Amino acid sequence: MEQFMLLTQGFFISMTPMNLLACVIGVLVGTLVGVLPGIGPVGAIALLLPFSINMDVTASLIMFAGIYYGSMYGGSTTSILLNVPGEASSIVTCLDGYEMAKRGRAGAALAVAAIGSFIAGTLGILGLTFFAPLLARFVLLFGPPEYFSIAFLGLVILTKMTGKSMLKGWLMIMLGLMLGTVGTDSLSGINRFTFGIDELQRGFDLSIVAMGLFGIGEVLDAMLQPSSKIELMSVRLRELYPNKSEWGRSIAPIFRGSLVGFLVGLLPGPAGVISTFVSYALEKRKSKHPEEFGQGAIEGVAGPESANNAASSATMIPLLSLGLPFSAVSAMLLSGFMTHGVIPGPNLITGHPEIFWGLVASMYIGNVLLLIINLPLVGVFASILKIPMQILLPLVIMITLVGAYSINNSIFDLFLVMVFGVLGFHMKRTEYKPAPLIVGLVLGPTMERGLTQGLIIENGSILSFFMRPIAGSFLLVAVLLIGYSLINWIIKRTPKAMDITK
Amino acid sequence: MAERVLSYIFLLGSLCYAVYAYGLSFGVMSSPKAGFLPTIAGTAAVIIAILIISSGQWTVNIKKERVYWRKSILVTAGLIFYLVGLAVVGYIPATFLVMLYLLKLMEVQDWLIPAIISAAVALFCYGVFNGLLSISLP
Repeated sequence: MEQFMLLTQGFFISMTPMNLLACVIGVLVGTLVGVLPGIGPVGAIALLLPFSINMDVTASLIMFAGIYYGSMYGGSTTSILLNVPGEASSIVTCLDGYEMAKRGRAGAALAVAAIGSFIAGTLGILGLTFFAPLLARFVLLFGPPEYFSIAFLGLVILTKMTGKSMLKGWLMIMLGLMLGTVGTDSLSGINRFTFGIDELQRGFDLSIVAMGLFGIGEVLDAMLQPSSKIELMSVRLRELYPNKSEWGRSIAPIFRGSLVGFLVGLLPGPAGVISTFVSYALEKRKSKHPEEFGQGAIEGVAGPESANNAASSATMIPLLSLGLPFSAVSAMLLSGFMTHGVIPGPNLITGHPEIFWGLVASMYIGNVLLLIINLPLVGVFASILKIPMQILLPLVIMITLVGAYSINNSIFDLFLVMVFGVLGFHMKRTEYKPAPLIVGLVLGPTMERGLTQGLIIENGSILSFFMRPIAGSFLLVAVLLIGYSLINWIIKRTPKAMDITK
Repeated sequence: MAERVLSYIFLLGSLCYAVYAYGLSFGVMSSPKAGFLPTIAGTAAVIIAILIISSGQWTVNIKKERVYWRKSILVTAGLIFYLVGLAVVGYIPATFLVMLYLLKLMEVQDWLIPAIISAAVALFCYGVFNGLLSISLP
C-alpha cells in the first residue's frame, strides 16, 4: 500500500511540464539512436550528459532512462523494415521480422513488436516498482565484505556474458579496475598513477571514458563501414493490425519473453542482447512449427522484442537498489546520477524518494508515449536512415567532442576522450569489448573499499568472507564459475581437444 | 595485425602499471595499503595479456586491414589536429576545419555543401554551448 502511495506521488512528480518534456525528449532520442546503427544508448547518454548539467536532477535522469528503454523500441523498426538492426538487441528480430516484411506483413510485425515491447516494458517496471525497494531494504544488511563479494560476482558473470573470449573479458575488467585506481586514494589520501598531472588527481571521469569508448569509438567504427543505399518499405497505418491468428500466436511469447527478459536483466552483462537470444531459442523450442522460424514466424518477433524491453527495466534494479551498475548503460546512468551529486543505492529510495519514484513513474509514462509515438510514426523514424551517414557521423563526433570539453572546461578531458575514442574504435574491431572495462572502472573503487575495509574488519582473513552468509554465498558462486571456466579452458587447450577441433 | 598490436599495447601498459604499483605500499592482509589492489590488478592483467598473446588465436579479418589502418590513421590525425587547433586558432575555425576534413574523409562530394555544413555545425555548437549553456569555449 505504501508503495502505491509513493508511486502516486511519483506520477505527480513525473507529470510536471519539465519532467514530462524530459521524458518525451528521452524516448524520442532513444528511438532515434535505436533506429540509427552505429550510435547506441551509451553514446547517446554520454552525448547528452553535458546538456543535463543545468537541468533538474529528476528531469535529467528521466531523460537518460527514456533514452535507454526508448532505444529498445527503435531497434526493431529498422530490423523489420530494412534488415538493419539499429541495436545489437534487435539482431534476432531481423531473422523473422524482415521475412514477415518481405511477405507484406511488416505492419503486423511492427505492431506486435511495439505492443509486446509495451506489455513487457510495463511488466518490467512493475517488477522494478516492487523488487527494488525490497532489495534496497535487504542491502542495508550489507557490510564491506558483502559489497566486495557482489561486485566480484558481478564481474565474474560479466566475463562469461560478454564477447567470445573470456580472457579478453577479464583483461578488460582488470584494465577498468586499474583505471579506477588512478587519482587520489580515498582511504589513504595518496595520489596514485597521477604522474604529477593535476587533472588526474580526481581520477578518470566515467562520462569522459564512456564518451570516448562508446561515443567516439562506435562512430569511428561506423565511419569505416561501407555505406549502402537504403530501400525503405512503406507501411500504412491501416496495415498495422495483426490478424487473429497472428495475435493468437503472439500473446504467449510476449509474456514468456517478458519473464525471460526480466530474469536475464537482473544478471550482469548485455542483458538486452542475451535475453533476445534466450527468448528466441525458447520460442523455437516451444513452437508447434519450429520450421517456420527464420521464414517469418511472428513468435520470433514477439518473444525477443518483449524480452529486451523487460530486460531494460530489470537492469535498473541492481543500479537503483544496490548502487552497482552491471552493464555499460547502467554505468552511464550512474554517471548521470553522480553528475548531479546523487548516489544510487538503498539510501536513494529513503533519502531521495522523489527522484526514485519520479523516475519509476516516468518509465510507465514513457512506455505509453513510446507506443503512441512508435506505431503511427514508424515510417518517419525509419526514413531517418535516409540521412547520409557520411554527414551524420562527423556531426556526432564534433558534438561529442565539444560536449566532453564542456563537462570540466578542460582540454585535457578532450585529449582523454580522443585517446579512449581511438582505443574504443580499435577494441571494437578486435573483439575487445569496452563494456567490461567501463563496469570495472565503476565497480573498482567499490571493490577496493569493500576488500580493504573487509580485510581490516576480518583481521586479514579473506576466508572469513566465506563465513558470512551473504558474502560467502556470492563468493562461492563466483569461485565455482571461475573453476568451471578454468576447467573448460584447460580441456579446450589439451592436445586431444585441439586435434578434434582441427 | 591490429589485434596483435592492441594486445601488446595492453601488455606493455599493464606491465608499466604493475611496476608502478609495486612502488606503492602494499601493507599486510590485516591492514592493506594504497598499493594492495593495484598490485593484484596489475599482476593479473600482465598474466592475462601474456595468456592472450601466447594463445595466438587472432580473429580479425586480414583482408580488410589495409583500408582499416589507412582510414583510422587519417581520422586519428584529424582528432590530433583538432586538439592542437583548439589551442592555436580557437573553437570556431578549428571545428570548421576538422568537420570539413572529416566530411571529405567520408567522401562527401563537392566542396560547397561540406563547407556550408561545417560552418553551420561550428556556429550552431558555439551558439548552443557558449550562448545557451554559458560554457566558455576556447
